[in-house]
Formats: sequence, C-alpha cells, structure tokens
Amino acid sequence: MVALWALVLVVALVPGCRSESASSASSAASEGPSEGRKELGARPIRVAMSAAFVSDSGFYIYEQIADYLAGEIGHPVEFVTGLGYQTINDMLVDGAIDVGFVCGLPYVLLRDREQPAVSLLAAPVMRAPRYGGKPEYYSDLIVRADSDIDSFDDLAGRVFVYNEEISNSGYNMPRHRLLRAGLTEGYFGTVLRSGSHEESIRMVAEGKADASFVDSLVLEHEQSQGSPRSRQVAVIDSIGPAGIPPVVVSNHVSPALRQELARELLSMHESPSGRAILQRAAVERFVSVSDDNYDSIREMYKGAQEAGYTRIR
Amino acid sequence: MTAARQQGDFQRRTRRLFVGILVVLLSVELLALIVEEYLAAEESSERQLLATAADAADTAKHYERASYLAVVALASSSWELLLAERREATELAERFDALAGRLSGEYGDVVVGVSGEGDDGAAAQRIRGRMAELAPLWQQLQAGQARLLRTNERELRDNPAVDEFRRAAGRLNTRLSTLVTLLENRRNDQIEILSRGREVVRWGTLVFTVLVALLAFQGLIAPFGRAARALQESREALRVAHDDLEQRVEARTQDLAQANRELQRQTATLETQTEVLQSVIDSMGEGLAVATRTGAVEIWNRQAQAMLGAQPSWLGDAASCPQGADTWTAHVESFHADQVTPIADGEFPIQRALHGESVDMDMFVKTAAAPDGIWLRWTARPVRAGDGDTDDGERRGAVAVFRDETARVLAEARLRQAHDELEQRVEERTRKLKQAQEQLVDSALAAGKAEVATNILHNVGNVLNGVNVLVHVVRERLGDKAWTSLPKLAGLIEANRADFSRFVRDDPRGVKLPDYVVQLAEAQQRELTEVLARVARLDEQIEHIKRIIQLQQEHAKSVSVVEDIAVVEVIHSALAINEAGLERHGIDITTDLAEVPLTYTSKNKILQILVNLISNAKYALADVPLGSRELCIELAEGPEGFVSIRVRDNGCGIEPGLETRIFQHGFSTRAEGHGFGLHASSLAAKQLGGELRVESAGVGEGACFTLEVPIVAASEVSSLSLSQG
Repeated sequence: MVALWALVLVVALVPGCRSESASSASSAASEGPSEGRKELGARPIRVAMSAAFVSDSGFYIYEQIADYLAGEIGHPVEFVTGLGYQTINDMLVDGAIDVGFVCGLPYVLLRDREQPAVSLLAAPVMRAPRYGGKPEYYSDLIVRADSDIDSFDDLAGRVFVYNEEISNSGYNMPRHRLLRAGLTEGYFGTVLRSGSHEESIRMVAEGKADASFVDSLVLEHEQSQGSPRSRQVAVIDSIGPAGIPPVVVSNHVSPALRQELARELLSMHESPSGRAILQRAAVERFVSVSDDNYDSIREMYKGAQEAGYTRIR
Repeated sequence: MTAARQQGDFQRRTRRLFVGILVVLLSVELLALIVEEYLAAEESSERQLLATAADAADTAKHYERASYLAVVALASSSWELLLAERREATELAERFDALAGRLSGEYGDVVVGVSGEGDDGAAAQRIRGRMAELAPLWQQLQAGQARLLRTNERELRDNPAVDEFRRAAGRLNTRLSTLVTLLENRRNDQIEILSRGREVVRWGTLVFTVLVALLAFQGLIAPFGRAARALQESREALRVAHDDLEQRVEARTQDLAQANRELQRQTATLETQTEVLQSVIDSMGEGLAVATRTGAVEIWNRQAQAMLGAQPSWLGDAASCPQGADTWTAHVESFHADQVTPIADGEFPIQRALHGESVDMDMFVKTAAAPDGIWLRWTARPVRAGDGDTDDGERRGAVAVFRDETARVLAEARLRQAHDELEQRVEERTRKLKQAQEQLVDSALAAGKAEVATNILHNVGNVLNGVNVLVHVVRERLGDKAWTSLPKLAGLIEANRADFSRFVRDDPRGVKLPDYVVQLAEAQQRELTEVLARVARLDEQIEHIKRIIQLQQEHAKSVSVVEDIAVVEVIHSALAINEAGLERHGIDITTDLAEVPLTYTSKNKILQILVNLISNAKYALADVPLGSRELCIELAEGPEGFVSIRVRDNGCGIEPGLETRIFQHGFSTRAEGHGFGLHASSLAAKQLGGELRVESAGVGEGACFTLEVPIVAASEVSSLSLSQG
C-alpha cells in the first residue's frame, strides 16, 4: 500500500552507505550537509516507491519530485520501483534503499524494530477538503457500480481482493474492522491477493472480485486521470482517517543528509517549481510528522496480532 | 531549290532519328540501373528485417536471464545484484519494445507485404501471424516478472510464479525463433526472385538495343530512295504553279490601276467637302476638337484656339502625335472646379471620351491669353462606327465641344458669397436678439421682486398711517384741560397752605375746591383710560408691522430654497402681508382652501406671485363702491398632478383681447404701474413648472387669476430647476 497515495511518491535520496559500520554512520552525524553528500560518492541516492505493477500512471510525478530534490541537493537520484512492500522494507533495513515512500504499516514495522530502521522525513497534506488539511487518508470500500452490494454487511461469502498483506488501507484496517465485528471465522467466500491497489480496482471493475478496500489517494488519482475502470466502481463505505503514508529515510543515512532532505521536502511548496509539482500531485505541501501520527495503525496491527487473527479469511 | 530543300529535310530527319535512338538507349540503361538499385534496396530491407527479428530474439532471452537473476537475487537478499539485474531487465525491455515496434510497424509491413497483396501472400500471412503473437506473449512475460519481483514469497523452488514466468519466456522465444526462420526463408526466396529479376533486366536491355538498331536502319536507309523520287515530282509541280502565279499578278495589276483612278476622283470630292466643313467649324461659337482613336487631333477650330490660347502642335499630323493620354494635360493648364486640383493625366474630357465615356463637366483653365483663367463647359462624346446611336460600334475617336462659361460661373460665385454673408448676418442678429431676450428676462425677474418689495413697504406704510393717527390723538388727549388744570390747583393750595381750613370754609374758590378736585379726578381717570386704549392699539399696529417685516425677511431668506411646502400657509402669509391695505380699502375677503398635498417647490416664488395678485386685486377694486368690494381666494387639487390657486375679484375686469398681453413685459393698465409684476409672476410660474393665466368677462366684470403649480415629490426634484429663478 505504500505509496501511491497520491501518486506522489517519491523520492529519495540517501547517502550513505549501507555496508558501512554503525560507527562510521554515527561519525557522519556530526558532519554538515556537504560532508554527508561526500559519503555518496558516485552512487546515486536510491528512492523506493511502491508503484503498482499494473499502473504507473503517476510515475512522471515521482520523477519530477526526484528531479527537484536532486537539483536542490546536487546529487543524482535513482528510482527503484516494482518491488514488494516487504522487499522495500528489507532494503531500507539493510541500507540498500535510502529513502522510501512507504505505507503507514510498513513504517510502523520498520520503526518498532528493536533497532529502528528508518526515521520520518515528512508526510504530505492533500488538497482535497476530505482530509481537512491533515496528513491523513482513508481506506475506501469499493464494489462494482452496478453491484447489489450496498454495505460491508453484504460481503459475507463474497470474493474479496486485497493488495498486500502489510498494506494498511488494503489489509490492516479492514482486518481490524473484521476483528472488531467478530467476523474472524471465514467471513468471505474467497480471498484473493492482487499485488497493488490499481490491480484490486481493475479486478473489481472487471467482476473478478466483488469488493476491495483500497487507498483513498490511489482511487482519487485514478478517477482524476479519467481511468475507465475507476468509473466502473463505487465507494460504499470508508474506514479512517489514519496516518498518511510517510516519506522515510533509512537510518544508515547520515543525520546531516537526513536534515537536508527533510528541509527540502518541507520547503518544496515555497518555490514556484516545487509548488507546480505539488499541484499536479494534488498535494498542498509536505509537513513534519511525529511517530504518534501512526499510533492508530500501530494499535490496529497489535490488536490483530494479540488476537491471533493475522490472515483475513 | 526544291531539291536542296528536300536534301535539308532529309538531313534534319536523320539527325532527329539519331538523337532519338541515343536517348532511348540511354533511357533503357538508366531504367535498368534504377531497377538494379531497387532490387538491392529490397534485399537490404530483407536483411535488416531479419537482423531485427534475430536481435529481438536475443533481447528476449537476455531479458529472461536478467529477470531470473533478479528473482534469484531477491530470494537471496542480494540487493545490489537485484537492483543491477532489474535495471538491466528494464533496459532490455525498452530495447525489445523498440525492436518489436520496428517489426510490426510500417517498415515491417512494407517488407513482408502485410497488406497481403504480394505474390507470396501466404508466407507474409504466416509472418504476420507470428508477429501478432509477440505482443501478448511479451506482456505475459513482463507481468510474470512484475509478479515475481513484487511477491513476498521468495522461495524459488516449487514456486508457480517462477514456473509461469519460465513458460511465458519459452513461448515467446519459440515464437521469435519461428519468426526468424520464416523471415530467413522469405529472405532466401526474395533473393532468388531478385536474382532472376536482374537476369531479366540484363537480357532485356540487350534485346531492346538490337531492336532499336533495326529500327534505325529501317528509319534512315529505306526512306532515302523514296525521298529522291518525291523531290523530282515536287520540282515539276513548282514549275506549273509559278506560271499560274505570273498570270494572276498581271490581272491584279490592271485591277489596281482602275481602282486608283476611282480613288483619285473620290479624294478630290472629299477635299471640297472638307473645305466646306472646315468653314462651318471655324464659324462655330464653341470650341471644337476631334481626335482620332490614337489621340491625334484632326480638327481644332478657331474658337478652340482662341479659348485655349494654343493648338496642339500635332494638329493635322497624326504621325507626330505623342500617343497616349498625357499630352492634353501637358498642353492645357487645367483644373477641377475647385481651381486648385489639376486635371490628372487621362482625365481630360476628350481623353475620357476616347475611352468610351460621355463627359459633361466644368473646367478651369489658364492660358497665355487669359492668365487669370477662364471657365470652360465641356461636352465630349466618343465617335463610333455605324449610326453612332449605340455603344456597340467600334470606337474611331472622340469629339469635344467647349464654350466659355466664365461670366456665368463668376455670377454664381458672387451670388453664393452674398447668400453666405446674408446667412451669417441673420445668425449674428439672431444671437444678439437671444442675448437681449435673456437680459430682458433677468430684468423682469428683478423688477418683479422690486414690485413685491414695494407692496411690502406699501403695506407697512398703511399700518404706519394708523400709528401716526393714534400718536396724534394721544398727544391731543395729553394736552387736554384736565391735565393742565392740575398744576393750577396745586398752586392755589400752596398759596393758602398757611390757613387752608379758612380758605376752604370762607373763600369762594376754596368752597368749590373739593367738588372741583373730585370732578378733575373723574375727568383724568376717563382720559387715562382712553389714552391707554390708544396705546394698546398702537402696540397692535407696531406688532403688525413687525409681522409684515418678519414674513418678508423669512421669505427673503428662502429665495431659491426649494422645500416641501403647504400651499395654504403661503396663501395665509400673502394675505397677512396685504392685510392692512385690504382692510383700509374695505375689501371683503373670503377663502375656500381645500386640503392639498405638500409639494416640493419654491415657497418664495409662490408668495411673490400671490402678493402681486392680491395687490393687483386691491387696485382693481378701487372703483367699486365700499361694501361691495370682494376678493376670493380658492385652493384646490387639479388638474391631475397640479394644485390650482385662484384669486378672484369683482373689480374693473380686463378688456377682451388683453388676457395674454397683460403678462407681457412693460404692459400695465394702471397709470402708475410698471408692467413688471404680472410678467415676473408669469415667468416665476413657468420656472416652477406651472402656469399663470387670467379669465375675465370684460371691463367691469371682475377677473380671476389662476396659478397652477405641479405637485412634486422630493424624490423627483432632480427633474426640476426650481432654484434657478
């Protein structure tokens, strides 16, 4: 679920070197921004984004954001797309990826490790009034527009499709709803995995599944782009709000470069070029967020773990 | 000569045939060269297509290998290898997309004959079928790779996604190999066809060259004998034709001699007629000019020469006439009717007539004989062949007649100038009259106000007369005997103060003293009472004067002020101002005042009008016997949108026919009148948007003045100009 929240995803950068020892990383913490970039050498800053494997319609926006940051920081950026949520998490842990636009739940998993693997850089605030100027989003329940399903209660025995097991809006939030309603003993007839929100939307639109919980940001972007399949589905329920997918940086990256990256993201709306990119992504601006913005996601996940209800059935 | 011509013709034919053969041979060689190049290009295209297909097959295999290595790296968490192999796979995918585009695009279509119209359509169909299978297989392979890299299941063994990816790769590779084989076969076939084509061109060129050589022999040698025979026959025919021509020339010469004699006779007759015509032309009162179609002047009579002061130098000499239109304007200094704009080249009347126009125009010209210029009236017409009444005939020239119109034009100019001056004087006179009228109106308004002031002062004077009478009476009373006796009485008492009791008892004056004192006290009490009554009356009169002055001051302050007023109050004010005069004249006043709306207007103007009307009524009643003098004031609403105030008296009336004149400035029926009051009142009524008029049955029948004032709401005031009076 990562990303795709607005399609905005983005960029990342990173410095440093993952294969270096913890001591060398900590020594970089005392260096200024220019010293932090020196760590990179010829290697570009790697930014991972959870683009869908079917729909990359928002890719150009990520490219523009990456180009913007590369220009501001003065170092090349390499995109990494098309990998699974867990793979991106693992690469952030190992320092193979420097910056990630990740879903809220993958962030919680990375943050709650015994040794936290990432730090928060920033989070977007969407322009749409629905989000009230806060770094939040929703999980929308979609069915085919001509479906006889009117509510969550009509889903019993139906075909349900989700994107990823560690997606917050696609898996964690609907799982919490099932748990809270006591529907843990095989509520759906069939449960399918699609790999991405875009694929889930396509499967519901084509009748291959009856319903799915999808990221509200992805659905809105598809609708704004005039995607035919997005017009063939209807939202009948929503869960949320919850903390919006953040931009995180691997803790292998030096603190100095982390600060520089955060500063550029947080001031992006102040420059004409940055503001233009944000407008195309329907983003008002990036804001600084604290870890407690994701406490609700954390609580839902812990609740499912403690109840032993980890797989939607 | 005929033989030489035939020989020349033969040589020309021979040269043309030789050149033709040479051109044909070169064309054939050039065509053969083009065909050879075309075949070579076709062969090159086939090779490139085959190379593209082979490249695509290799790229697909490399893509499969890079993707699989990326999956292996993912399974073993070898991130750098994963990123490197995935990056390579992405680049290979882009390369494969480009190659596939070339295969299925226009280039591939042309080479493999996808249109199906080639003679080897079956092979092209098979190739097109393989190509059509590539896109879905490629998409399956990419989708399989994406699923592998996005999966959280990293186990390679017994992983159905891995198996599916390998199967998709196998299918794509098989199709690509088949495509390469088909293209190789097609290329071989094409090469064989092209080789045959080259042989055909080579042999065809040789055969064609031989055929051309045969044709050359047949075209050059065989015709030579036929040409020699034809040459001999031509010489004989020419000789016969020459003799016939000689005879015809002789006969024609005799005919021409006869015609020449007839022409000489007609010429003599024509010269006689021409002399007569010239005499007529020269005796004309108008100038006459006749030009030929080329513009040469053929006729130019004496009047023409007299008026234009010269004659064209080419007159009678068409050969020396400078062709074209600009000769006339160079010859005559001519202008349009404004005497300033020169006649442009080609606009001269006779020139325009040469172009088919019928021209009638005035022209101003300056000549040596008339350096100040003269006016000519031109009439120019085109001259056509035929009866001259239609425009269909061929134009042969133009004729122009012109006469001196200077006297007429100058007379018209003087008349026009006189007219303009008269117009100007009338306008100036009108303006002065208007100014005088405006001054008169201002004077009338000022005079009207002065007359009102005179009325006010007159009323004050009336009251002051009463005051004077009262003061005189009081003064007489205070000088009465009763008041003068008291000092004498005091002196008598003082003289007898020493023995006052005896004086009262014994003196005859003293005996009467008590009664006298009592009578004196009673008399003084009566006088005092009367004097106090007179003083009270005096106070009333003085108060009356104060009211009159106060009213006048109030209205004077409200000059030009426009406000909501109650008309009935203005009527009462007007009556109060005239009260003393009316009372002194013994006039019986009655009022009939209806309730009317407030109106936004000038209180001062209405008061001015009413004071003037009441004052006039007072004088009109002067000859009516006391006790019969009546003045009635009525107030009513109507006509619609107006209030009407009527001041009616039974006085001297108005002579019939003067109902309008009495409002004119300076008109008065009274000897002491100025003729300003009613005129100013009428103007004031108009300024209020209303009207003042009078009705009378005649002399001695009384009169009724009616003032109509519009009812105006305050919101409508902008439409009025009440404050301007």
